[in-house]
Amino acid sequence: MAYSAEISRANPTCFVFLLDQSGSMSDPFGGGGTRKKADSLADATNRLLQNLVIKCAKEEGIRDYFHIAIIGYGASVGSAYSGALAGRDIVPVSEIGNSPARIEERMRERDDGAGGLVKEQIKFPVWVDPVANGGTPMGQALMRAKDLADGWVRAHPSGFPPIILNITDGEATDGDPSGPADALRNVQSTDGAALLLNLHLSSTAGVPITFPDSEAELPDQFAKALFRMSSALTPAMRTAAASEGFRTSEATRGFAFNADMVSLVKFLDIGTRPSNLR
Amino acid sequence: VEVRAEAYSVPKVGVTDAENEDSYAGSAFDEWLSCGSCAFAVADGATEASYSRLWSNLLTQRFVQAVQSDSADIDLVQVAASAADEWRRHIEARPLPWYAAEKAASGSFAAFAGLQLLDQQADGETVTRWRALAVGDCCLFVVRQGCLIERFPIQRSDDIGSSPYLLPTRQEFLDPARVFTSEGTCHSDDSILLMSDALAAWFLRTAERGEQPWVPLLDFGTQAAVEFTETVADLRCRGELRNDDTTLVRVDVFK
Repeated sequence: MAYSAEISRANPTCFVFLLDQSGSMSDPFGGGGTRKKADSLADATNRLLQNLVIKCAKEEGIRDYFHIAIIGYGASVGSAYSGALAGRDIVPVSEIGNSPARIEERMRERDDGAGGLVKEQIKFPVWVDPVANGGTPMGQALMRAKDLADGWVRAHPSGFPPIILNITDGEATDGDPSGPADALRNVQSTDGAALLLNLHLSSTAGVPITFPDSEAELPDQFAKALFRMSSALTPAMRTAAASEGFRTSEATRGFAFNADMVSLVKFLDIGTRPSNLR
Repeated sequence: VEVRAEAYSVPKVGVTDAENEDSYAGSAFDEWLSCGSCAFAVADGATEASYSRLWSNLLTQRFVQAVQSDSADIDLVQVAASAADEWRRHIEARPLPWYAAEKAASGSFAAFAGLQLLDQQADGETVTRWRALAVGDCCLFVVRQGCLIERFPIQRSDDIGSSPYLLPTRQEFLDPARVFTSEGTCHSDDSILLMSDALAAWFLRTAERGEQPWVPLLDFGTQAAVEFTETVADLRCRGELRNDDTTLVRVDVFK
């Protein structure tokens, strides 16, 4: 059965995040807010990295179930890590956890258990800073991801295949990205094909859409093109999505419009996950 | 009534013995024990939490101690609350990096199955009653005269998955309605088996096919630990046993 390889330190899997760092990412989100897309993207990526590090954290340290590359594309295509990891491609999650560029103090609101919210200070590790500059060479970025995925699969031929999450505001400036996307989705381990997920951050106002099963409800041509480039959700991803309240079918794809995808990392099975762990 | 218990535990392939997050405890192992009030327990710490080995170990040890110091029916919620205080004191004493502090703040989780054996007087005779308590997917089975007469708390192999409800260190995550109990009377030659989830899933699946999975588990001889390790390796190799920490406590009853 595909996508059933055990994820362990001996058989780790690989994530590649592709971050759109083009000039248009300095525009605000659709819907009248002022927050720049580039700021939201950096925050979302840092939160996702934090989630992955914590998922692998044990009392003795961080177990290397995952290895992660962060590739930015804008004025150039290359590693988007800041700080000690700058310039690196695929980095073991233990090194990521131990080498944030900095740890900021931020405030967050938390449910007080009595129907109210309390503010608390939290540590917010930062690996990626906002960048918005240049064009949108998405095709090149997808080819870079394909090279990384190819190399990973050669070294881990029977492991859980690489997962690529592309986060963009949609419009490639280096031609039709669907060819490179097809090539990337054709990278195979014996456990299955590489999984390409797309998150569309749009300046167009519109309700967030997560895990659609057809392009009919999507608001523009860029969203529709990204939907077509996205892999179908695996059965385990569908179960995870369903447990978060999303309706899924066999046609559901790993695509979201103006939404977050933290829930998608929860499906990765590295052992028993308590159902009462919130 | 006398009992004799044996315990075996093998970590999943790819982790060391020190990383085995299953724990077991008992009033005594590998020796005859007259019952009075004795106890045995198995717990399985969650991989996706930290300090899970510490938590499963505290739960099993404190459960057995509670039974030995009090012959009344044990309240697992109370035992867990006191073990959780101890767990927190262990963690708070250590300086932690940001990720470990964040993870520890979510607490730890474990599946648990405990067995309490109590001698009671009924109609001038001493009867030994067994009482089982469980949260999550650690299981207890009673085998009598070649028949499986008790499956607890999970009845079917399909009900064992990768996201069970588990006993948490943080009491606000605990729903007392998820603590299950069962009880019965011990007969001579009964065997009571406590096991963690991977072995329980195999046990139930095999029983569902009409076979007798208890036979190899009851028959370990003098080289029992070696035989258990070989049995587990063989089942994993054949794809019948999930690669997970695997623990068995077998309590044999004699009159």
